[in-house]
Amino acid sequence: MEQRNRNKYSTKQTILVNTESQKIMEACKGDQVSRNISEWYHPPNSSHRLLIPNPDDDYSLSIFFWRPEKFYNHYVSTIPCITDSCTGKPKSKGWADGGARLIYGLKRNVLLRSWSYRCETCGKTFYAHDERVLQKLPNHVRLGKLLYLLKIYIIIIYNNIYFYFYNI
Amino acid sequence: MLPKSGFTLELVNEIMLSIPDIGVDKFFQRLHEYHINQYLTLQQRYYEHCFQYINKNSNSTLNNYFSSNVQQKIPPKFSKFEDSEGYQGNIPSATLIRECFLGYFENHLENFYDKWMRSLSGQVLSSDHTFKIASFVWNLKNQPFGAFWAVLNEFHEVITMAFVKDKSNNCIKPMLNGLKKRYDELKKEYPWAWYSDQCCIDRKLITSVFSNTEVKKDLFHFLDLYLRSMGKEAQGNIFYKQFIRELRDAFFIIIGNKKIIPQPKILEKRVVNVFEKYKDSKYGIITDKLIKQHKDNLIHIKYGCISDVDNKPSELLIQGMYLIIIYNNLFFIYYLKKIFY
Repeated sequence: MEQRNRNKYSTKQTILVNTESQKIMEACKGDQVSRNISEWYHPPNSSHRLLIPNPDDDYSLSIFFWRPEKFYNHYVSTIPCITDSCTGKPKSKGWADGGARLIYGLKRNVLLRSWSYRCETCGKTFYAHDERVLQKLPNHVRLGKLLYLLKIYIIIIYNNIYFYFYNI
Repeated sequence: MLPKSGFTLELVNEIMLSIPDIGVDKFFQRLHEYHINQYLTLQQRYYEHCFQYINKNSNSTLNNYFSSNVQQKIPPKFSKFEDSEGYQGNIPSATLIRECFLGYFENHLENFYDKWMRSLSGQVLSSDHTFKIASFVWNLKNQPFGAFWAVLNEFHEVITMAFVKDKSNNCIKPMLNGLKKRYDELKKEYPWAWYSDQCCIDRKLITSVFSNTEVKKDLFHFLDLYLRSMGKEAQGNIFYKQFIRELRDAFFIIIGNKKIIPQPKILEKRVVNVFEKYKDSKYGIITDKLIKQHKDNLIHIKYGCISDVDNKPSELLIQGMYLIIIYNNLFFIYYLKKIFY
């Protein structure tokens, strides 16, 4: 039981993950593509300006959301299926089950939450951070790989690198 | 949390840069330090904030103090590093870091390193066998390789390496042919000197491939022969360090800030002089075993295996192979990879 607890993030973080995912989900409903969504969520980090000290901001981790067909809509209008021969169009399923993944960082860890899809022609369910999907994405989307997922996946961000270094 | 997690690219870069130099365990410690450092800075900022806050409120009047709720005023403590409901500090284990390193190396860098190695060449080469690395490689219950053979150039880069069955020439021959082919393809001149620990055995083989290359004995190994013949018991002798230093200095002449190994006749004279000086029984450092070794070594000196090549810059001289191996990143990556797979 202890071990299970050690790997879970805190309840406050869970609420944060859920509300932020909800926000992105609503902003991208249907065919709608919102331009002012950031893939990164960083905690406000301004608690030291408040009158009453509150450590909650220091506790929460940054979250990286990954949903390429919305964030890079001009280049990735539909997500490709993971099987090479399949030509079907995968349907979006919602955020990946089980919350966000922990990604180890140099000074502070970050969380990764990606969208999941289901292809009805081949009947497979997969996540947006699957390596087989990533390899089919255009190069510039893959250029600045920011996260390296153990053996399986590589992710990807180009324009937010500065943000990332700055905020963490 | 799902079982398979990842690393930010920032961390991966740090891993790829540091592990070849310091190894997995030390890197794990360093990463721990980075995380704790970040934790402590945040903690300090928070407590400074609390301190100011309490100071400010304590200025209030007595009346205020009793009327307000004291309990509410004191801000909570900053959580511990591992607290899963608090700071959520978490560091990848050493095994996970190693897995990441090897995985990333295999997927992204191995081909690059191989190609890079194939594009290297050099004017002065040195080669050596090492048994330690080969002893890590096991296939069920037997060891498939007896030794590991590597060639370095004058910039301490590994230009070719392989596991070999034993120290015999048959194992090395095909690699030398491949090296020659590489020199031809790159249109580079053949090396003019080759340093090896068993010069007189390798000379035949090497000159059969690179005809104009001079094969020299590695001075590091040469001096090591003297040390070994003296044995450990000689280290207790008061004159031991002095003798070793003078013996080492006898091999070099300094001309204009450059250490040069003189030609056979001068070199022989200098080395013999050192032995004459310490021959006296009051020093008690020269044993029969050492004299026997000295006679063997003199043959090499007379033959010119040690002396510098005439009219060539001698700062390119390659010293101890072992030192070079330790400092060579590429080699170390290969070494790690073979051990852990």
